[in-house]
Amino acid sequence: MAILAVLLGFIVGAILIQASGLNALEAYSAMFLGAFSTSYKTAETLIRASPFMLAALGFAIGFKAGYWNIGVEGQLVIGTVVALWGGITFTYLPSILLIPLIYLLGFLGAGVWSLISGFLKAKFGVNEILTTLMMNYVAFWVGHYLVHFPWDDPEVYVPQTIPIAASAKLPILVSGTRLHAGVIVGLVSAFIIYMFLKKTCLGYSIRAVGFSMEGARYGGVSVFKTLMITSFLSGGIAGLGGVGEVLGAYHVILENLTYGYGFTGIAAAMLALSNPLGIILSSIFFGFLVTGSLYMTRGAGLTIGAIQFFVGIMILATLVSPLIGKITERKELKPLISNESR
Amino acid sequence: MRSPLVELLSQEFVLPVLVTAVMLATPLLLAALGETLSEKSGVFNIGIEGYMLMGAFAAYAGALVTRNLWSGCLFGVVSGLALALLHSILCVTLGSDQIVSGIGINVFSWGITSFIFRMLQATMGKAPMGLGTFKPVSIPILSDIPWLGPAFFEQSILTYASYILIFIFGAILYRTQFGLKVRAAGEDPLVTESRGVNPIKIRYVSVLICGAIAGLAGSFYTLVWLSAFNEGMTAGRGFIVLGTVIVSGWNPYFTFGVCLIFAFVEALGLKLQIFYPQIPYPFMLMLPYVITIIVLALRRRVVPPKNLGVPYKRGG
Repeated sequence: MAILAVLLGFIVGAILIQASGLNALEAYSAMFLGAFSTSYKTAETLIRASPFMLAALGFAIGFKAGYWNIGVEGQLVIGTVVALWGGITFTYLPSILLIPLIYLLGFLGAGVWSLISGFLKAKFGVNEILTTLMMNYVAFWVGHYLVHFPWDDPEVYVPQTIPIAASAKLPILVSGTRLHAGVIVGLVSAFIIYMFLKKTCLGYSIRAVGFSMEGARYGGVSVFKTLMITSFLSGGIAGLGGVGEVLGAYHVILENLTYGYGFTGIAAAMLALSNPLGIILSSIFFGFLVTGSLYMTRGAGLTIGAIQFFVGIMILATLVSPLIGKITERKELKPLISNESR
Repeated sequence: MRSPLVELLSQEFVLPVLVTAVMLATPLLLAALGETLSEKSGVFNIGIEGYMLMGAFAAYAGALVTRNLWSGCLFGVVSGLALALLHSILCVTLGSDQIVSGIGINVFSWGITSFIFRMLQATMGKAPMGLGTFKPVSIPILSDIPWLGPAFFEQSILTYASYILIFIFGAILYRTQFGLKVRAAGEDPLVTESRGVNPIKIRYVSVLICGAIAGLAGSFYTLVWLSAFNEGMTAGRGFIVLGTVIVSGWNPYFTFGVCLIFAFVEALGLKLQIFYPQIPYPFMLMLPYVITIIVLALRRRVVPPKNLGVPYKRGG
């Protein structure tokens, strides 16, 4: 089904590329070569994939509880903000303590940020879709403020913060590439979340609340507590994606560093039907789209829009693809139903 | 030397804020009316942000190509309509998740508008300026009312259209057969169908009207507010619209007041930026979103249409 969605996305994409006067086949092959042809490029694809993975995992946990955390976009921003703060504040700590501390702080920071919407939902039943969307914009302006005002690097002309301490930088895994240890965080999180949802009591409550809030309440699950924990975890995990971008990929915050990452993550979660292990693959797929599209479009300026446009098509394609399956199913069932109705 | 408080309450401060507020309220109001109708029929349109953004871009591009502001508006309307058609095919006919479809439409619209916009920029060296804007028209007598006159009756034609549409939407929803069917489709589509009305058809019409009017709302940004397009220029105002619809309790008449309040907050933020440059502007710009969250948290006792967001399959 996911493959169907991907195919559908590519076909629609091809039509639109062709319509805009470019050769779709050429564009796609350039894209594939751009993303995988060398180990450096493959590493870039994985680096791109890792924040998407964490955003997707964060969204997926919420989704399992029926909690629409569309605020992953903003939670990533908070992750970057906290990571930078940690990286310029606790500079006296050795790497072995500093990096885990920053990850922990990033998790807590983004988790608490997300908890605002979670609390409003759990306590008062305020629609979390709207509050998480609003929080995205608040986070955006908080990030914008920090990049332009207190943390602005006066020596650089573009809006960019001062860099984190060298001891806060994540180690490189494969020499000759930029592949940093943050990628492992995404992969490990995916496995942990998979086990957590499947094998733990809390994971069970989350799924129960997602299945039916009334049913869960009747079965003795505290819906309030579960929603609070879910929103916290959901935001915290998305925040880790932001931490990885600062500690691993950039070491500073650039303006709009994680712009669009959250929604790409949501698309990845949708494509994987919120299965944590599937998310690994779907995020790598989106990482491929992003790195690949750098080579697909001629001017680098074209890329952000092109990627978002693709991501959007992909989200819509995930909606259509299960229906194609359904149409073929219905054909088989038809005689049975018509016999019954007679 | 006047004290800062007196300064704040003086006419030269408040009046421009009011004028800007009414202006900024117009697209919110237009979109909110459409969203109210659509939600009343049972379809959630989180993609309204996308309709507005697409409308803004299409109106800008359309006006440039045809050299006419009115046909620019038409482009905006049609683009909103097209996205709404996509949403209704996915969600009303095929019964997909309305929220996922909405997110998809938003991301898609954001992507395609900035993609084409950047392509324009790349080929022309810079983004072309828009064709110009609809100029404010003052209504005789009414615009002479102190304070309120210049704020409400020296606006562009689109704002006046939005005043009229409040009553049209109110009348449609509460005084016509069609309005009754819309409300029925949102409350209980099964019963609606058992009375011989096709809820699918009703939902289609409602969503399409919502798309058209949201597209018009988007055109406001490029044909009245600014004579240019910026990437992602609607900046979440479509989501604020979703908030105003809830806060006004799905009532088109209340919507006007609610939109005015939100627009006032935004206008105030813009104005305070000039008066208090020592407060960093990002804090002013996040104000509307913070206020939306607070207002949503305070106003909780509203009852949404019973089948809002629930896809309906014919025959139950």
